[in-house]
Amino acid sequence: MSGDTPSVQGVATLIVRRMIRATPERLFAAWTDPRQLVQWWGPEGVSCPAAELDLRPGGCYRIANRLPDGRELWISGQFELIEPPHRLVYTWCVESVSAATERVDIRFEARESATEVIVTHERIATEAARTSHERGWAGCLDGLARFAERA
Amino acid sequence: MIGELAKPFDITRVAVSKHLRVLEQAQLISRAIDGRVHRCTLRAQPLREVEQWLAGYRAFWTQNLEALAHFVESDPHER
Repeated sequence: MSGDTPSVQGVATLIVRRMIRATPERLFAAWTDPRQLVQWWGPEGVSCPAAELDLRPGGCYRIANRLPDGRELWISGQFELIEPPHRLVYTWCVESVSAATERVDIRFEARESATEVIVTHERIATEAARTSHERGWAGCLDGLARFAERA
Repeated sequence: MIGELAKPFDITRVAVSKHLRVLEQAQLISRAIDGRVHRCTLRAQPLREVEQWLAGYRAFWTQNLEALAHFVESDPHER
């Protein structure tokens, strides 16, 4: 990034959607039951050795992310809204990376024989993202970016 | 020119000017003033930077949902 660009204090929102052949109930459980979450959480190369969820408004969660280089990064936050099986909203903070608290809003919308999962990642702060690029979460994300560009 | 920019939108020129002012403050457009004529030019570089770092988040969630799909679709009767 060019050094002469003034720092932008704004925030961004990202929306990612995916159709999955399962019911909202099944997906909500996979997302909120730690025993299930550890079995799938993490993009390619990232595994999830541990997850703790106190599933109630104001309750905390933390999810371990083991990166390809062996380091462990914890993502943590608080539940803001819990509406089984259709919606889950929580704050999002990546340990030692996030400069600000972001927010993730997950919706499970039934469509015929499948469910559309809609992830809205809000309040993504430029500064936090820049820091993350510097710290190396990006190292893992670079690989992911290649995956996304392929998709 | 602002009149031109406003044409496709169903809002007043005053409202368009307001939006342009915000874009200008965010340094996403630059403005050249020639008498009463204001010419706005898009400055795409900051948007490119935003897109660059958003790509990481997009990749993260795309792959994460892929993993979720694989988990629930490979064994839909589990639990």
